[in-house]
Amino acid sequence: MTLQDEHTQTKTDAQAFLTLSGERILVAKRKHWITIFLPLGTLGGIGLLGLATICSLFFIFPILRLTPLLTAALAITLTSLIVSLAMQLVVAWYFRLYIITNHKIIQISYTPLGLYWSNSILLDQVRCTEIDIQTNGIVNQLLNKGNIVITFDRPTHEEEFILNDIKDPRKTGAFLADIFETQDKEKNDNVLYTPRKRFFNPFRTNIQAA
Amino acid sequence: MQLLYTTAYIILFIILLAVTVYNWIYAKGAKQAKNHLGIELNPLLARIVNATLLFSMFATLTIGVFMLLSLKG
Repeated sequence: MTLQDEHTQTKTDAQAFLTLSGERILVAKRKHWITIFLPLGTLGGIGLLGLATICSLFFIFPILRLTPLLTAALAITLTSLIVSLAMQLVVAWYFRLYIITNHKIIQISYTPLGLYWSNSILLDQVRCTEIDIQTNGIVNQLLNKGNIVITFDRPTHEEEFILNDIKDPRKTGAFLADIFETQDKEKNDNVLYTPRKRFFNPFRTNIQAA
Repeated sequence: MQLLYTTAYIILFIILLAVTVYNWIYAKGAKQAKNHLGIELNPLLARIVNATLLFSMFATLTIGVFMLLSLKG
């Protein structure tokens, strides 16, 4: 039971996180590709603004006496900085994964030279109580992008696990609901002893004893 | 005025040198993600990382040449 193999590369990458015996990947997703467009666009805008400022300093304010070489040097430096930052944004997006196996849910984020964190929840230790699907705004509706909030009922407190900005949230949410329901049923079937409830029945008469 | 230009070139050169060194270490880290994380970098992304590193190296060399020209002139 798996979703359509639209993220084959992501699933191949996710194979590295299978640690338990009999564990298999059910869902492996990255954030929607459009999520890196906003920071990249902002970065591009800042870069263009900077280049425009450098050009205007050269052409409009000759009193500053910027030589063509210095103008070119400033432009090259700014471009190099912007390109480096953009590359880091893309790599950070690539190394952020949501993986759901039949035993656990893992959220991984890795930045070379920066941070590494992984958040995993063992599904046999918790009970899923709620799966919420959120898609806000017309843009997200059109792009089929949204969040899935999975709420777990732990003995002491409720814990939420959020899959942010993923593609096709409705389908994935429905799929996850199916998985958790199946697992809950399996858990209940595995209970070895269930005490019977005894009710007092006033109409029952013990004939043999009489 | 010449001193001002030279100082500007030196500052830009130092900035670009720092960016290049950072990019070089970053590229190395991204390529070794397989050891840390178990995931290999996408070939296209690996090319982008390499291209960025090459561009920053080229920029550093260019500014270095400008700086030397300014120091001579």
